Amino acid sequence: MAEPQLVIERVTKIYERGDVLALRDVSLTVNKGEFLVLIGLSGSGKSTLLRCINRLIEPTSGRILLNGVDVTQATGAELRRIRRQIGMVFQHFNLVKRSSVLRNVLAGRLGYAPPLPTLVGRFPRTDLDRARQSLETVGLVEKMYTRADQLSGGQQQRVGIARALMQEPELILADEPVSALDPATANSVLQYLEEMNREHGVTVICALHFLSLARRYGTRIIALKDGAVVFEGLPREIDNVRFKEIYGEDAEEVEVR
Amino acid sequence: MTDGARRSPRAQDTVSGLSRAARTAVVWAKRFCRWLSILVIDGVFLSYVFVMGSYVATRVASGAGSYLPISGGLVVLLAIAAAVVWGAFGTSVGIKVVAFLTGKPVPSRARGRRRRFVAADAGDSTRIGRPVPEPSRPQPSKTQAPAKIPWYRTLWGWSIVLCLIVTLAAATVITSVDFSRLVRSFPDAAKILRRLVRPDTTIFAEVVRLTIITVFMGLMSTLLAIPVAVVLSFLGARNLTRGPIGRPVYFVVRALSSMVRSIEPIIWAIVFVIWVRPGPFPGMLALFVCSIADLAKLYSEQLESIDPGPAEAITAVGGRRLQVLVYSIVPQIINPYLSFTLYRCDINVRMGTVIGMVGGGGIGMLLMQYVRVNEWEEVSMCLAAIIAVVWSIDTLSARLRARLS
Amino acid sequence: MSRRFRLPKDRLAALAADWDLLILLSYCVYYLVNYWYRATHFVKPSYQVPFPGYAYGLTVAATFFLAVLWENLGTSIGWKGVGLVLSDGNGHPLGLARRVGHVATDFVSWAVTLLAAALVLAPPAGLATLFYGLASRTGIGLLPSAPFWPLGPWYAVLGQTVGLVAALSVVSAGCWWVARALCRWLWPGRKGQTPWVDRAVGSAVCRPADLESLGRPRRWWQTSWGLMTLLLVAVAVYVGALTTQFSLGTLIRRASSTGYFWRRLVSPDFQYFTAPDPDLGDTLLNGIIQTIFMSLMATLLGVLLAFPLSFLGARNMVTKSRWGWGVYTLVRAFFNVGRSIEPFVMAVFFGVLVGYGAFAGVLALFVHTIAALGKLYSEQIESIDPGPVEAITASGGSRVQVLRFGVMPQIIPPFLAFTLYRWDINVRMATIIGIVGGGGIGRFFNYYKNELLYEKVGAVIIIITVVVWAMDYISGRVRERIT
Repeated sequence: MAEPQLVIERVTKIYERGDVLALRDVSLTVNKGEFLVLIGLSGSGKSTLLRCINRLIEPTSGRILLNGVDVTQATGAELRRIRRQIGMVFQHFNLVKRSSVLRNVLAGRLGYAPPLPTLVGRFPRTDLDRARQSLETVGLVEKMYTRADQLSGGQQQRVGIARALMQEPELILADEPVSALDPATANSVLQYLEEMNREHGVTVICALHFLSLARRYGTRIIALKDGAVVFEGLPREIDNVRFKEIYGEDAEEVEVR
Repeated sequence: MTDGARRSPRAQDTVSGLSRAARTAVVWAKRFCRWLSILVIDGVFLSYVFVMGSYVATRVASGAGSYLPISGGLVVLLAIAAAVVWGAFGTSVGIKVVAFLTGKPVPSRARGRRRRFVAADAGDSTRIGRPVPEPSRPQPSKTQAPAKIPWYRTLWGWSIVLCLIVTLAAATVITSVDFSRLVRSFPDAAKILRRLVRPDTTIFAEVVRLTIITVFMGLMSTLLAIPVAVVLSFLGARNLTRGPIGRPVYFVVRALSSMVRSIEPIIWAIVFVIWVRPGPFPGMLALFVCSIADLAKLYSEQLESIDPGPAEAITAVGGRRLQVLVYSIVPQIINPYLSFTLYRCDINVRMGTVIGMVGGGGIGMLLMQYVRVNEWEEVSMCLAAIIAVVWSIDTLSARLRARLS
Repeated sequence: MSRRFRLPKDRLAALAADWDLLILLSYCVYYLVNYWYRATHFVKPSYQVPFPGYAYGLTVAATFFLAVLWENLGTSIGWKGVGLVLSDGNGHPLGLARRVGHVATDFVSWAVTLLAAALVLAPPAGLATLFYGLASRTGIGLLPSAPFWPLGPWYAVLGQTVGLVAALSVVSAGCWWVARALCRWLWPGRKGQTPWVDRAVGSAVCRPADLESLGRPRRWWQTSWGLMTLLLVAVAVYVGALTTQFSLGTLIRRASSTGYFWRRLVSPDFQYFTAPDPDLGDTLLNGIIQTIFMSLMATLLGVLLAFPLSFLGARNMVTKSRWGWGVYTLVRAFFNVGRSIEPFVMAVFFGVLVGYGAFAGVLALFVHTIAALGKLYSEQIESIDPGPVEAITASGGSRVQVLRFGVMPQIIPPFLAFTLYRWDINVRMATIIGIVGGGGIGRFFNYYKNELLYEKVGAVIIIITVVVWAMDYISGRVRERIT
């Protein structure tokens, strides 16, 4: 068995200001090429866990190892090197609304490109070609020079994915990427992630709301409740009993086709 | 791995460093501060009404107003005593003010008592004065707002009315407002007005030249202030200045710019006129200094309200701090910054028209010159130029700002 | 204006912007020529290079032509700002040859429009000059007086007046008819009909988004509007520095020679804070209290008058009836004029009227406050949600009830916020209005400055800073809670 790509050891996150325990002793391992889906109620710690992986949020205690490198102890240039290998897709797209699609996508290469020219907006020629390729992959080449806020929600999320693609990442973290989209667009966005996972071998850790989407796209499911892991296994293992345990007594499953 | 217990994390193991006793102490300290601030507000309110009332009374009675007919210490003592009594037995002004400012109604036993009295008044004549037996009515929660009593049936409502009346009377007396004087001056006003509607066109060229100087004064001071204000705004934004060096810098920048803003450009102009000789230069310097402070404040407020999402994304991609700045923060703030700059330019030109009256350059100088010798025709020419230029810059700035947002 | 023609307002605004910018540039050129001439030749400081009289008129005409040229051959600042581009009607940008033709038609078209505007304005302008000439000659105001017309029997005077009025009407009507005919030819009014400018050359004006994208958009330093902006800013800064006599050298040189002033300014002397100053007869504390009450009075009185006036100045309240537009325009004009004159200036005027003192200051602030608050209030009224108003009207409410239940609840919190904001500004103004003769602490400031008592000047500045800062803070906190 090969070394797992990502190891999360006993990560805990406490927010001082509300005495809120966001993550409680979470431990899991992720192998390369998996499509891991995190499910759970709002506030159960999915976003917090994802952000701890690339240290947008600092864990209070615990360790995270990416390919054997300790993420929790890295600082400065090393942290940037780790971050540029991890692509991230956000729930609210996090694009710069006033900038063009091309500029937003090129921003994905900021971890790799030489720093000074990027401050005036000049990227290497190869990066421009790569941007064009990413936009072709998500099907938005003709919108290259339009402003980001003139696109629809689904198109904006595809730009977000193109930006993540630019990093040529080993790991993609997706924080509820389709919660703000309608069902048809949600499926098409998740299909891009699935394509990257199956054909390019990129590990994907995706937090999702809808169990049906999780069952359809995930190879493994991890459920969080109140900051702790309550279920870890294959999608088909979630039966009604488990479902009520994860989501609570009053929850009912909603189909999203 | 399934956590059987369904307790909320807060009850189970709060890891905050404080013990239970310390937390109780904090709660009581907060309550004490609240009570103290209510007391202070009530005390200040009562002594203010007394002092102003006595000023008006003594001025009307004897022509010479005195704020403190009895010694100041006695007034303060009486006010504090009255405030304590009022706050304990009813809803005082202080309670209302603190509730308004903090957004939370003040829980107090006194209000429960007041409610019961009101309920007794409300209809049941057999129960007037007698306390209502507790078990028969559901106890109101301590933090619920009581039934809304209209202000004109409350003591605090009428005391605010009294305060307003006293303030108005005191203001009239202190500022010697006397509309009969105004009415008696109407014949003179008519004479001056007749001269004011006939602008003297012989000084037209000079007026135009000075107006152009005024406009340039406003423009230059804004342009020169922009780079300094931009730098200061990043230092004065709470979300960008964290850490042991950041915090003090933030406070110093904010405090300094507040202080500079409190001093009007006219005063700065007088100071600069003494520094360099009278002319447009000191006026421009005065506007420059005030613009820096004002723009820095507006800019940093904008910085504090940007969307943190794009910054998160650029950090997640592996960008350095400077790249986060250029790629996520700067595109969001350019339009608001431009809008604020146009706003300030408008104000600077307005101020520029009058800054000449104290020695800065521009049309104010000519205006002051002619007003001193009562040459109203020339004054009206200057006024016409001022109105034209301020009105057009105002409209232009408003249109451009509407386009930007 | 008749409904039969529609002047394209955005193209007009763009042309006005470009023409004005070019005139500004030419003014700067004239100024620089004067400046260099004075710097290199031995002449008086007020010497102006004697350009021939027609040079200025020629400059104005030349800048007009250059503006038209710029708009058509490239993307001018005006067109970029308004958001227009020249296309050939099919989504492609216009070719160079047709652009040159467009220059000619555009020039002719705008020149003729200006001529039409002049024709419309000429008769009223002539009339105004006539009255003005009469007024200045006779000295009693705007009414014409008898000595202008030849003295004679009443029927002669009447006949001459009637004849004058008739002639004037005929001339005006003729001018208006010609102007309207010209405009109707140039700018047809029906939707979809292109103006003559574009019809003659076969072009169309559209938004940049309607053009087919040609690949990578040009960076700003490759465009004419970008380069022109840079040039204008550079020239404006240079001329501005010269006009305002900017000189860092003076600043540095005189810093040491005015050292005594600085030393005394930063060692404040609060001797007369609670003890009355014998020369001025009052204490600093009374002065600052007077200042605060001055601003309070001015704000209260201002609110009283601004509140009803604002309803008259709001487009959605007043312009439904026939006289509405007239009232609206008058009220708005009053607001604009009142806002343009700073209270500083008005205080001098009121000082002459009612005597220098606190009352003059209150009156000056009062008039300015009416105008400023009135404008803020009416803008707020114009931006209310029409929903509740519709609902109450639909359920049969009278006009007063619509106002009370539909409009008032929406506008009271913003009105309160504006009033507090205005009070804050009035406190600032009141502190300095004493310098020109309003009362309050400005009076002390002026006196100590004139007597060179800089320690006391420092004390006054500190008092002003503290009071204004406190006022600002309180008003900011309360406004936060209201909105």
